Amino acid sequence: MKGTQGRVSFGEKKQSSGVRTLVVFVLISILLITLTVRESAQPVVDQVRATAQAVVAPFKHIGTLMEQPFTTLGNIIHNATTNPEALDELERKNELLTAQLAEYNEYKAENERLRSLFALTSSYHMRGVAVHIIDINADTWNESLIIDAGSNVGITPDMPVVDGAGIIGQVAVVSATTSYVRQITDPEFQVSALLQSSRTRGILRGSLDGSLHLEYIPSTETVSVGDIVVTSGLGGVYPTGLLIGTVANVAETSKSLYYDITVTPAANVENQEEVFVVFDYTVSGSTVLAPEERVVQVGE
Amino acid sequence: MRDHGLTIVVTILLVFVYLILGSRIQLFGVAPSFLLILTACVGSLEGSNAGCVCGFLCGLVLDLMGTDPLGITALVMCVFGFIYGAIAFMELREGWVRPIVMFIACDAVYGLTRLAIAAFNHGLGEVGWSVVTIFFASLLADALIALLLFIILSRALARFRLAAGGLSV
Repeated sequence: MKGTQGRVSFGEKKQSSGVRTLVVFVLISILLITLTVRESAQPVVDQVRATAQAVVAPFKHIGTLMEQPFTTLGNIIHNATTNPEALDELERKNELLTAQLAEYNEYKAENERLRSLFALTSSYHMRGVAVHIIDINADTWNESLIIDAGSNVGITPDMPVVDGAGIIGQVAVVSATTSYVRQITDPEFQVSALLQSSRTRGILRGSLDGSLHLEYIPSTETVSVGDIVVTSGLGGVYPTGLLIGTVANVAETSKSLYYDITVTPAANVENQEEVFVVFDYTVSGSTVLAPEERVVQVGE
Repeated sequence: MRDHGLTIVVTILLVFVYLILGSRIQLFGVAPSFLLILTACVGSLEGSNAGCVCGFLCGLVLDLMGTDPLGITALVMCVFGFIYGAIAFMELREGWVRPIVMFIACDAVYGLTRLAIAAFNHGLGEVGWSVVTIFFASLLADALIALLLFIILSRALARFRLAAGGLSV
């Protein structure tokens, strides 16, 4: 007996067929899917998901802490060949100036169009909360991030997420202390956008390779590389004129009525530690409410 | 359920590792499908029953962390774990190369399915360079991680069984 214990070989032990196990788990899965799809059970499912994300959040924090020494080491090696202060300063300045220029042009264009019609100011003020990113993109096929604040500070699904450079994405799932944000580069993300120079509206969406594509811009319009792309404000989620990025490539096919425009996003979460979740914003003196507040108003 | 004890413990331990480090480990610019690899490894080492349990747990974690309907990934992965376990467990008698090659083939089918869905939703132009930058990169990354996890897991489970056998004498 002792002689046979010293050697363990996989693939030789008797295995049960597992059909019963499979049937049980398939039934549980179908039950869960049914519960999720049923609208009446949605709050319960959301609560379960939110609780799970809250439980997992401390582990994500541990990962962030474990990553920091390696990130620091990587930065030291990277910066060894460059002048770190000058590089940081230039990057910061460039980011600031691009955002300022976009904002300035947006104000200017809006004023020129509306000056004769309305005596309105063209500024918007956002109200929201600054949060930390605790995890970025755990899946090759999705672009997402997790932030360290949830319903405890008033975050609700569909709220826009921005940083100093432009749009980051939109809140998808909210738990008590964390939120799951779908990035603008996610293949499932879409937002109405416009070219700042020509005011032509299109649909901006993410893609598998992480690039942004501006669609439905007619090939009769003039589009140049470097043109600034901003939010159109349609849909009411994002304020008009928020910087999305710049046109990186314009492709025109002979058969298509529209350009295939690739956009380089202005915001880059890889270099960010904090982002801003927008609760509501003011456009020309009127407050645009957060999504759930709009729903309440419609109901009333 | 007692038969699944070891599978559940190993799965939970490795899921925690995934939650802490998973998204931070990138090879060739992509994050390996760690939980899919774990399901395949457990299935090939422990059989269809264990593969099914592991697949369900991993799928449930992915569902809870994402926005897809709860249970859909769990369903797909428990079926994958069962079928893969049933075939790979038998192939393991011939050596560890066949299960790894089988996993790469399954991963390729999974990747091609995702590309096909993307092409269906957004047109063929969407796929383009993604074949190289995502599909082949993730295939290579997954194969390397699968090989590594397979070796680690097979040795760990062998030691555990030896220890358990020693205790029972």
